[in-house]
Amino acid sequence: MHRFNVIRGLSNLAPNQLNIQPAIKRSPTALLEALASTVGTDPTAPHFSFIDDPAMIPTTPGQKRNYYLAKELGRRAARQLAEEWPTLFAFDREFPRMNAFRPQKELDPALMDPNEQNLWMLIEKRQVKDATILYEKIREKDINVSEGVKKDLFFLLAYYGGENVPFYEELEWHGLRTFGEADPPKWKDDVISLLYESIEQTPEVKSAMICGIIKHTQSTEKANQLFQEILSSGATPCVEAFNAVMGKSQFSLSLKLLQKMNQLSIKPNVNTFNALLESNMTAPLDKRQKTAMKILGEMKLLKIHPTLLTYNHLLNGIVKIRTKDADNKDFKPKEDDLKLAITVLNEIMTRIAGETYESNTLNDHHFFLTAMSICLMTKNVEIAQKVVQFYESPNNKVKAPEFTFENSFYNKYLQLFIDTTGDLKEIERVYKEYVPNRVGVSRFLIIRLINRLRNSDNWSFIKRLTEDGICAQMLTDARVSSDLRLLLKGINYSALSPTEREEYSQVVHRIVNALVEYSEFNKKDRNRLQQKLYPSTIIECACLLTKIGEENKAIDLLRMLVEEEDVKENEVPKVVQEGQLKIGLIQELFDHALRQKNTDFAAFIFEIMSRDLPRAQLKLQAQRMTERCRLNGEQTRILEGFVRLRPE
Amino acid sequence: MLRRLQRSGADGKEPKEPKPASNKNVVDEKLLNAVDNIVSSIPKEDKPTRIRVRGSLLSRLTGIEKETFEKATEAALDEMQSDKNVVNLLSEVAADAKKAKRLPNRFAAERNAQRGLLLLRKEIFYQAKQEGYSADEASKFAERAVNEVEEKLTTERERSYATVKEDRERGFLEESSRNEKEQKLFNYAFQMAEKILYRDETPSTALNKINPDVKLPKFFGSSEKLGVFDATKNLQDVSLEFWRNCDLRAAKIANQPMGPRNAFEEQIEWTQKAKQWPYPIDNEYLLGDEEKVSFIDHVFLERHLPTLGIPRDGPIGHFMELVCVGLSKNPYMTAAKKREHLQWFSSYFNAEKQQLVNKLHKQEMDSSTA
Repeated sequence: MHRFNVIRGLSNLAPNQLNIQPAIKRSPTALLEALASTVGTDPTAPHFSFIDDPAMIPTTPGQKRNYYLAKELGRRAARQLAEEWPTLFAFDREFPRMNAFRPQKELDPALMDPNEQNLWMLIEKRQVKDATILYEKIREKDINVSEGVKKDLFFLLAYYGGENVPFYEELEWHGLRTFGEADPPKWKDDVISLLYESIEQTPEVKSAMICGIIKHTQSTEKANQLFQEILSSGATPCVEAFNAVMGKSQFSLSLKLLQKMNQLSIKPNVNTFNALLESNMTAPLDKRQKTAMKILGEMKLLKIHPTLLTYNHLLNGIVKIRTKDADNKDFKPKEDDLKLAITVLNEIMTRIAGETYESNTLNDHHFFLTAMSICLMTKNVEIAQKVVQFYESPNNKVKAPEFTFENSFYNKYLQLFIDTTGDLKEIERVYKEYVPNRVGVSRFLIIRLINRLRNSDNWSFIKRLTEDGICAQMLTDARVSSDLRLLLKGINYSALSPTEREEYSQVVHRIVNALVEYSEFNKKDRNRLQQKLYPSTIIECACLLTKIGEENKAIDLLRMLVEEEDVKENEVPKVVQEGQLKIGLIQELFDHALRQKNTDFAAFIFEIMSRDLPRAQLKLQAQRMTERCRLNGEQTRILEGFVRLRPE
Repeated sequence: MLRRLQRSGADGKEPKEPKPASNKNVVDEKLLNAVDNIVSSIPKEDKPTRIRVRGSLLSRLTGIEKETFEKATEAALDEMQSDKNVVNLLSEVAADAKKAKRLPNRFAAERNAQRGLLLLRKEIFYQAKQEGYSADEASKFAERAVNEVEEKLTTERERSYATVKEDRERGFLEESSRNEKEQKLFNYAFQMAEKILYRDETPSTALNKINPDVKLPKFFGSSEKLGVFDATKNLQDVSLEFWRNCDLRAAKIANQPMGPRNAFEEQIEWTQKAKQWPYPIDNEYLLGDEEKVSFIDHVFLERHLPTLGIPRDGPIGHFMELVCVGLSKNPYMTAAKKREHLQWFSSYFNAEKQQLVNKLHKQEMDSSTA
């Protein structure tokens, strides 16, 4: 009893209330987004879409494009099959039913019921051409459509010019969006004008018409006419119409339009000033700079924040980023222009450092390419590093497509780094970071680096460069292939460690085997893949093989030059017998053979040398061979006879 | 020629096999004596045979000895190569060789540089000839260009980077006096000479660096304006909403990366497209109409029995209770279907059927008691 009372007493003393918190409402992807925010991007890894079989990971821009499109087209083909033949998948049951895996083919508008609901559905889905066909059908049957739906249809047609949504607005298929070639802009005047006449021509409708005409046609006459019509009727055109007309006019006219906007108390937006900067580009340079400053001052007054496109227009207005001028000659911008451009860019980068930028227009990402081009032209690595830092920061929500713009962007940065840095270790570090995943391996890059690495002892860099060149099929390029071999030949083999020598040997074997394999595509119906062996190629390979002590393999290769090739009926020759022999290399091989006192090898080289060397020089070499290889009397006589028979 | 050389031996006979190492050093004395004994058994007149037999026996024995030696030392050699100390020693030697190579040999470097410049002169000569110059003109130009380039590089390197512009203004072979072809060849000579004379150093392209000029007026801090708008004026936002939304949509699509960058982003995409169940996983996701049905309608089915018109006791009542229990445990049937089942039983157990069942039940009970 006493215990019972104590417990009851205690329970009265400890009234800890348990508060059950209400469940936190989270979106279906909140958990995944939180996890994704903890994962960074490894710049040395291939793009996520390529992470599969390591042997298939592409290295050059062309390979990346082909591989990405191949995968995407495969998925699109599967989707199309599923749409076309749904009965083949009828017995696949799942619960709950996932309609995402049951794609439905879009209904043919010719077969649709011509009513307002269907028309509205097509407008919502942005199926412009189908909506047009259905509307035509509705009109033929004289069915009534509400003003609102007609207006929406008109806006859709004006925005897209009566054509379907272009590739660059493709949301789902990234490859199509990036690599699809857009058709030239068209304007279906007949359909759009008809619809325009049938709806109430409010200022919004007229503004949309103006914007559409300017967007899709080269002539602005009709647009200007409409614009004047709105103004003369006392109505207020929309700011988008003003922006469209300004962008296509001379600066003086654009300024007058801006004054009109003020008169009509229309608030300009950032696109207004972007259009103004664009129209300013046609003015002479000295006036352009002052005007640009004034435009920026006006933006500041109205508290309009510049976007990346604003900065792009600003930089393009100072210096033209191009490599050829109007006469197709190499274009070199003036130093003063470049100085101004880099000063302005520095100012921009200081300004945008901590700010967040979201995408506002289609071409916002062009700013990064313009900025990097200016850094490359002015050889300024420090500012280029700032640009790269900003591009990669989480504050920047504007991303360029990886395999096109981003590739160019990082390519320019890498070029700049190679051109301005003396420390090869530093170049190696940056190269390994960017190539081949961010910057594809290209002929230009390899040649540039070969020139920097000539006579260098940096084996790890040379090895990496050679392997990248092999993977990028550069062995099929005569110049790059030869340069790579000569680069390898220039290495001081005795200074390499045992592991490095092993690696060197493997690389040499890899190159030689690849070249021999290329030459073996000699069947007549398949010889388009063949890369014949030229004398210079064989000599260079022989030099490399002797360097690693593979004299026998070198002899086997040289035999191809000396002996007549046995070509069968349905085959083509593997070796081209005519061509320039590199006398310097042959001399080296000969010296090596004499040092080794290898008569067979020396004789091979002698026979090859005899093709190009005149008799007098050949005689000298024959004397050296006789002394060093200690030829007997018979052999000496044969050698002398051979030399005597050579032409003068 | 090789075959001919190979075919001709010392006396025009077949080529000898490579001379073996000295036999006394390789083959054991006892074996040598044994060979001598065998050779002595051949008649002295047949000298060639004696020589041939002795030679072949000795070469074979030497070969065997070499093989056994190599096999015996293979393991030791492998062990040596895997020994860290030996590997370190070899790599030190290699490093020393590298370091030794790095010791500046001024004379060799100068010789190489001169050789390089000579080759460069030849190259410029060939290129000039290809451009259309006569041999004499090309030769003079090549000589002049390479000399000037060498001098220019040397002076540029000696000064500090700040005075590079001054050098340019001095004007070697003034740029205006050179025509386009000559300028192109001169630039090529400059680049090549730089590589020959000053490899591994900062390329002179870096000397052309242009830095921002602090003296130039700032674009963003300027107080200049167009003078069109007044900050105090009330401006209206007259915008075409459809157009603005389309532009923003297009901008968002065009400025996005190409697909997901990691597996989480891929799963986010799948979830948004309804290809993957959303987290946290709910096993009643997309259940359909059954989501609105309470468990009471599934489990408590006995309450429907009185409305069926079936007796509540007796064999039929007992049977129907069992039916209700079975249906309550069935997760695959909808509640409506369960009620349909009960309805069916109701129509099955009409008055006649009830009488029959009761009668049969009574018979069974009687027979069991009996």
